[in-house]
Amino acid sequence: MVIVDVLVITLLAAGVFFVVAGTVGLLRFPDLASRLHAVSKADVLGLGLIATALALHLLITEPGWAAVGVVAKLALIWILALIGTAANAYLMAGSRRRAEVETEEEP
Amino acid sequence: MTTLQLFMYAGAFILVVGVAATLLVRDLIRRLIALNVASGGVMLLWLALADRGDGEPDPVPQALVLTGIVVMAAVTGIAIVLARRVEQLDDDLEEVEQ
Amino acid sequence: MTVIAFSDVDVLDVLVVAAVAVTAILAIAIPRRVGATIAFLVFGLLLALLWARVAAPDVAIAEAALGGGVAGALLVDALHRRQPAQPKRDHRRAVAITAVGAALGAVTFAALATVLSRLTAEPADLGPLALEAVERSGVSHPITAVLLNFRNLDTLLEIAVVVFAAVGAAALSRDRIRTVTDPGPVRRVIAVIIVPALVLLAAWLLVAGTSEPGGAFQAGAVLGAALIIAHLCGVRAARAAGGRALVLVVAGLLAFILLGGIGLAVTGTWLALDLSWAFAAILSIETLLTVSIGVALAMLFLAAGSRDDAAAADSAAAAPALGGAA
Repeated sequence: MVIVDVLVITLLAAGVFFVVAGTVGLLRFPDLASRLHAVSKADVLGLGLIATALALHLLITEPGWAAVGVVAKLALIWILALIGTAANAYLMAGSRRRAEVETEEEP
Repeated sequence: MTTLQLFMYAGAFILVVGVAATLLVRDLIRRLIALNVASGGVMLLWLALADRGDGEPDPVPQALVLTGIVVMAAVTGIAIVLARRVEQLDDDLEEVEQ
Repeated sequence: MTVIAFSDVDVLDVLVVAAVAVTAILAIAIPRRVGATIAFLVFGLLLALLWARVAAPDVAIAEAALGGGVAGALLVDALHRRQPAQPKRDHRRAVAITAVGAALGAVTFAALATVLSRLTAEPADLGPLALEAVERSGVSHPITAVLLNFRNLDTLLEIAVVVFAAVGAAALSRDRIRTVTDPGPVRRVIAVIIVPALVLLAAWLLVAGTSEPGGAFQAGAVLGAALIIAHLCGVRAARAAGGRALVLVVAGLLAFILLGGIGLAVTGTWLALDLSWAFAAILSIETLLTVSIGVALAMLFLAAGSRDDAAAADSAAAAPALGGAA
């Protein structure tokens, strides 16, 4: 069991590291495109690692069908976050690009 | 200081800060945000009181806080529409005066 | 005066409460609307975490969905108008007003703290009474029992507030609600994937609320989000505006009043539910409430965000400024 605990803690720590890295990128990068790049990739990866850690911990401590249900919900959360973040990044960058093009077109 | 006391005093603090800001700030949207903050403080106070003791938490304050959250969301919606209208009318008034 | 020692409190509790207090102060103190809204969104998220800590999972779900989701989305959408410049107050007056406000706030806090210090750490009598009565309510989850059976008058009045807010917002949004003409391939895919998933999630939250944390309000918030996303992705049927939407919103209120009348006719008490049909009544009312609240929230969002042409030009100019400042 100790090995699984170490694995869970490692996954959690890695997840937190990636989320913090994404936030640092959000604060420090100069423009919208690079900030979106940092946040949408790192945050979702961090969320995935944390969800994996929680699923693993649950499956080991309370195995059974209820745990499988919770793991399925965690996977659903991650997939929805992935789709939402990706769509958001596309839409924000797209609308910003269109605004830039409009201001460029009026000399 | 127990956990109950920590949550209660924090809730009271956030409530007072939110109400003071609602009365003193002049921008309409910021006042709305301050009102939401004040309601968060009240909810913290009530939920801390609901979780006293060792057994299951008291469901009545939790149900009332849930009602409060829904009401605050609806009030925020109507308040934003009203604030937008007020500012639009102020802009029109300024244009007429100029 | 007793010394305030932190030995009994968990470090994590202190950290979360401190973070909540700091974000609350930031949300009210930041002078720009954009910064204040962002601080408020973080405040809402931390508050949801705190509610889970205080053993209130229903409230945590509702706070995340409604406080952070819907109220946050409304406030962010309100940012498209430039903040009107406030006329400059005389500096001394500003300092004086802040000082008086701080002093009165401190006095009020001291008074509140004195009252709170008299409260005991034992729970009041009402809680155990309510928990004991849950098995006679028709559902097995205590919060749903309280909301839809013991204190369903409060829920009736709450749905009335939501209806009035939606009707008022619909009446005041003179501008036409923006229609999405060409959603583009990405938005169409989002509509196909996310909206059905959200509707299913809302239905699950609704049914699960009878025995686990969940219920009509959380489900209504998720349904409202699904309707807003569907509208923004160009689904024509999801236009939560006009007469048809209002009918759906008012139907929930009227059904609840009708239930009260039925309770009066059958048991002699307004809004009382007889145990034999309590579960069916609660589930059907919750379904109607979910639809009403979902449509009402979508109406509020669309009414609050509707733009006329002048504001659209404002937002196109403000977008690069926001992108650079954010």
